[in-house]
Amino acid sequence: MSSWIEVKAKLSSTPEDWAVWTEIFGHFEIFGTVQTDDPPTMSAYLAPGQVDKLKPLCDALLEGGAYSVEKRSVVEENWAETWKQFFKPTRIGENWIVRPTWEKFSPNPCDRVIVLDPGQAFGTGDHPTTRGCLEFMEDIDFRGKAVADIGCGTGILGVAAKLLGAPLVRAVDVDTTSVESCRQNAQRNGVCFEVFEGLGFEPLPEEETFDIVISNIISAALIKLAPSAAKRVSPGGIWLVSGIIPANWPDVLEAAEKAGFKLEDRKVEDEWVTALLRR
Amino acid sequence: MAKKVSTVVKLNIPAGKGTPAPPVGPALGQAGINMMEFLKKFNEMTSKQMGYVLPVTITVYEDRSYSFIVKQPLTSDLIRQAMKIKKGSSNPGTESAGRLSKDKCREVAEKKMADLNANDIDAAMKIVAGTARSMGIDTDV
Repeated sequence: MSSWIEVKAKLSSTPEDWAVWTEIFGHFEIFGTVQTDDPPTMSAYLAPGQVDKLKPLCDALLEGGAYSVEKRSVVEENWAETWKQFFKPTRIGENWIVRPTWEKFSPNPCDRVIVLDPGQAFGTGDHPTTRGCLEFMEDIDFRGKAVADIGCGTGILGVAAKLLGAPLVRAVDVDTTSVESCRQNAQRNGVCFEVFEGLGFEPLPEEETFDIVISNIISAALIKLAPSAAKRVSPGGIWLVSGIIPANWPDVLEAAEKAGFKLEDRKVEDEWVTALLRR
Repeated sequence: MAKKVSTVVKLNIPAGKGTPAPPVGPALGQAGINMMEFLKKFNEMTSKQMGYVLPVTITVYEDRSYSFIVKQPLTSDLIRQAMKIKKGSSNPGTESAGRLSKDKCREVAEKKMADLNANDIDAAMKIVAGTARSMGIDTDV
């Protein structure tokens, strides 16, 4: 395996403009750099075969004002794949397994496997709010139910609703990346539902109502959403909410109750509240 | 979704040319984010700015999802563009690579203002002039 050399310039204070330092590396035809603010450092890597640049580069960095320059060898690896080591199949609740596409997993007969590739969109199953929602969902009968996931992120909860037997799922997110990610994840899991880009219920057909609405977003958005959720959740239906820190929970509950919901159950996991509200 | 930040990575990467090789690979691989997805997006977003090195700040959250912001090109690149020169002096301090006029300095400062730690345009111009001097470029500021 060939090695790269990491060269790290340690600075006594954060520079007014980092370009002064990228410029020094640039003189040596090194254009990619990493900087840290605390402590202030700038690093770059010399490719195998560039070792002749090491001494003049270190000298230039010291001359430029770095109080020290650290060098270390970094063995080349398949960096494009390194991040994957952080994602393993995860069990959530009784029967949910969230599995990244590249991992193999032998599920038990009762397990429901959601295949997901993490990315920019939120909701890998790693977050207490996603876990909280999935745990509640296990105990809800989705068969024959119309479901809306408002703030779908990766689409993990919409996929889960389909796997639990919901014939109709609508997913909405305000973020384009999430909408794309949600569509891909639905496909990956062999389920089919429509994904809309927009705010709250706005992009959904008017007058459409749902037996179950899931919203794993933030407290402020939930409070705003409460009146329209009351219109969109059928009488006796469920609004499953998460993404709430305990300090904000009273405000969310107040808004939900004012809109006509009643608290049925609630759990707190790692300082995040997930609650089942019924209209 | 309110997300807790787990780490912030600050990189300078040539526009449209991000690859998993260092510095991106070691910096982001350890942060545990989907690097190829990030690179594809970065390259797509910045393909029209080829030739510039762009500062990018990647915020990684506790669930290892992430967001990123691409900033204005490096001040040094903006100075070169304003002066229509390819590089600064190879011996800053002894050889001059030209002069950055006050107007050009203001132009660069205005573009870069949001990324610099400056309260007003005069302070930003002083920072730009300082960067120019470090590149062996004289200034009128």
